[in-house]
Amino acid sequence: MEYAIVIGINHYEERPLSGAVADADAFAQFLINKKLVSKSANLKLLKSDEGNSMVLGPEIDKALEEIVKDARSRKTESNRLYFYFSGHGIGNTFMNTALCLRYWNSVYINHCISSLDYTTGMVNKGAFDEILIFLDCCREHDTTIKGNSPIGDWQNKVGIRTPKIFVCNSTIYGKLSYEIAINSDQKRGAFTSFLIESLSGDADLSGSGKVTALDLKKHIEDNFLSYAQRFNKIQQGSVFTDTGGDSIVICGVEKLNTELNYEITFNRNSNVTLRGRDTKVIKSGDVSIGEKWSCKLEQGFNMIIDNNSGEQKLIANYSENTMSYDEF
Amino acid sequence: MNSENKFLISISFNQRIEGMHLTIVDATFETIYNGDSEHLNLELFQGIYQLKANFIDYYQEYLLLVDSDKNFTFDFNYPSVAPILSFITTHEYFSGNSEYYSHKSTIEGVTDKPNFLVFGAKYDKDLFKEVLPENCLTEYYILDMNNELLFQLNSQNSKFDNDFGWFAFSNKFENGLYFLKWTNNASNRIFPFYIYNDYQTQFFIRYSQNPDFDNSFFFYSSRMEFRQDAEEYLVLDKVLYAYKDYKNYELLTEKDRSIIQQHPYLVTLVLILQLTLKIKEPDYLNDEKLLLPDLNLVTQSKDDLNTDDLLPVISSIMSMYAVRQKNDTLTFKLASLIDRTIDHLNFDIFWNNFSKVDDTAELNDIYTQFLQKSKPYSININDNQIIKLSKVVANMFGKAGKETIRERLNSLMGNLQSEDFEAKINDAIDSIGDISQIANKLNLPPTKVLRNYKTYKDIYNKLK
Repeated sequence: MEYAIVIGINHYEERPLSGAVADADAFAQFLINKKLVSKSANLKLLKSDEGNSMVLGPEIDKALEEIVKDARSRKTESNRLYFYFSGHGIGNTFMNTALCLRYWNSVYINHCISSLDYTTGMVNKGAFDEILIFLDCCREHDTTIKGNSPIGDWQNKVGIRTPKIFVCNSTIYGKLSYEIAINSDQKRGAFTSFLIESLSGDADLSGSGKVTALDLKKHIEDNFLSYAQRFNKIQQGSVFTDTGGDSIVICGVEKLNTELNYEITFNRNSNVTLRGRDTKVIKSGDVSIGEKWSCKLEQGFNMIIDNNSGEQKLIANYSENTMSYDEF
Repeated sequence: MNSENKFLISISFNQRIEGMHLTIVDATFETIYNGDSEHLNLELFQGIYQLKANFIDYYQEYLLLVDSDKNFTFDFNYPSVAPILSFITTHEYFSGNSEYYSHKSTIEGVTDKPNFLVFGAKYDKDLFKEVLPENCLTEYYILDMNNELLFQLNSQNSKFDNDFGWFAFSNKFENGLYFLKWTNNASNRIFPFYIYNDYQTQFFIRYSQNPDFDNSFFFYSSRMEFRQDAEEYLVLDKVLYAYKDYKNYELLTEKDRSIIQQHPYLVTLVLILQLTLKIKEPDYLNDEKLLLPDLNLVTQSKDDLNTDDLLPVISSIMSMYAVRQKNDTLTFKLASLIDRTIDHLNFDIFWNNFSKVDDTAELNDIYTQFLQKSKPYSININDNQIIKLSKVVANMFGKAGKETIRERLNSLMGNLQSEDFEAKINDAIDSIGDISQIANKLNLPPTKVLRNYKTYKDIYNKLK
């Protein structure tokens, strides 16, 4: 059985975020749409809102305990847990990030949970075979901040299941994570946007029809930096696996039903040429602002050139089996 | 996927950056080159390639369209230092004007070359239209060590060009300690700096919507001027990178080492780092040094320590690269140690850049805890160099007497004028050593006690 705890916090008193809740929504929706969590009751979505006091901490423990209770009852099933967090974070150590909760500010500096203690707690529940953790938050150094441990018993191992672990950080230790503008009025975490595209198929570079943890790890390490560069950010993800976490098959990749796999929206009035990875011209012509070109691109680097200004842009099509979008 | 044609491809950069790491990925995402080089000659099949360039913390990508023999020459956008070195990614007037004003004082009547230069410019002259250099000028003040105002930069004593997005101030000062103060509404920054004989003290700052103090820096030039083609500024970043992790010291090339040898400021920075790390045979021991207070700090014994001039310049490095480790011997915290060694660049590091510490009175408390730590910190082999340096600084200051602390605080804070300044200093001094006890007793984070010292001290006293 699959379970998920998905957390998004925008509404910090100081330094509120714009895209964390939308990121959590998108990730939760992705899990549901892809049937990675087959029962909606097994997905615990905790989001801040102007009118609520989520997420303060105990809701997370409560959600985890509910999940554990159900998971333990499924003795013969393989149980997988997703833990996703989007919000502010602080790097305590290489392995431990303080995940800032709703009231975190310069007064309540310790209103955080410890990612390491919660990971340990989830492992020690003995109820899961696979634990996948995705943290989209900053990891700037500060050992003075102390993230709280789970309020229940988290240090004592129960049961015999030793889960495979996959921990995915949006940034390397000591560095920032960024939000990017995905359109004129909406921001999203750069990492979550990349993550969802990756799991949708971009990380399946070999075309095997599935995304393994190893595929995702390699894709993040090789290509997330480039993705962030498209938004003028320098951000590099960091992935940690343990007890065979590399072998987790995260999801399958559905075959794309459409003939075309890439859509380019133009933000200029000009004459442009699209070239394939062998530099041969795929399409050329005048374009105007808002016009879209839909095309079939091979997996790999393609490029588009503005024939008037000479501006060039690399188009990275990671998978022919996913629909991708770009602007030029 | 490639055609049979192979082409001769040359890749180079406008900037001479030794130690750059290059990766070339072909159109099928295969890595075909991965190594350190600033210039590549390759034979490549026709196709589209991606070039990735890494240099210390900086990263940039380029597109290579290979359809004939080609020479690719790129700019490497190197945010901290490079824009001074004629990088077109900022604007063409940055380096030219810096060079010009490092030669020529903007103050009438000063005939010698100026020994102090402030140069500010926008990252991009065409962006941030609302940022007018003329308006930025008046946010800067130069104070002497007694907090006497020497200059407020303005359109009369400085040069600027609003269209091209830069301003410059230069002048000649007597030797000694000064403060460059920046004030904008509730935000303040105070940068201590020194003037030495036969050196030009240079401060470079760039702007986006706001001044980018994280990437601003001082340089002490024995050439008495800034030159566009100078390479020592790039090497400064490599030295700072070695402060972050001494393993990066290996990135210094022979050429870098020769450049360091010719620049006493760089020699001094390397020496401070190596002495702090207790490297048995430090490099450049016999080369000319700049007598920064930091050098005294790490070379003099505690008994000989003369605290009069101690304002560690490298605290800027510490604040840039502070890696805070858990360490049981430090029950109260590196962040404040670093703050107290005069955080030139990041007054807000205590908050890990999440919020500003605007109230300088709070800083009095923070500095005081550092100054008053009477028990020396033990320096462990496992401490990284920043931690070691912090402890050295802490131990040195910790030996000072109450009067010295008081003087030092006054000096550190630029003799800050505040109605209850004396009272706050005294409160802070009276809190010697008991913040950790209070924190332990009340089961509170020491940082919280520090910020609300009086409140928790009262509670603590009642519980005793």
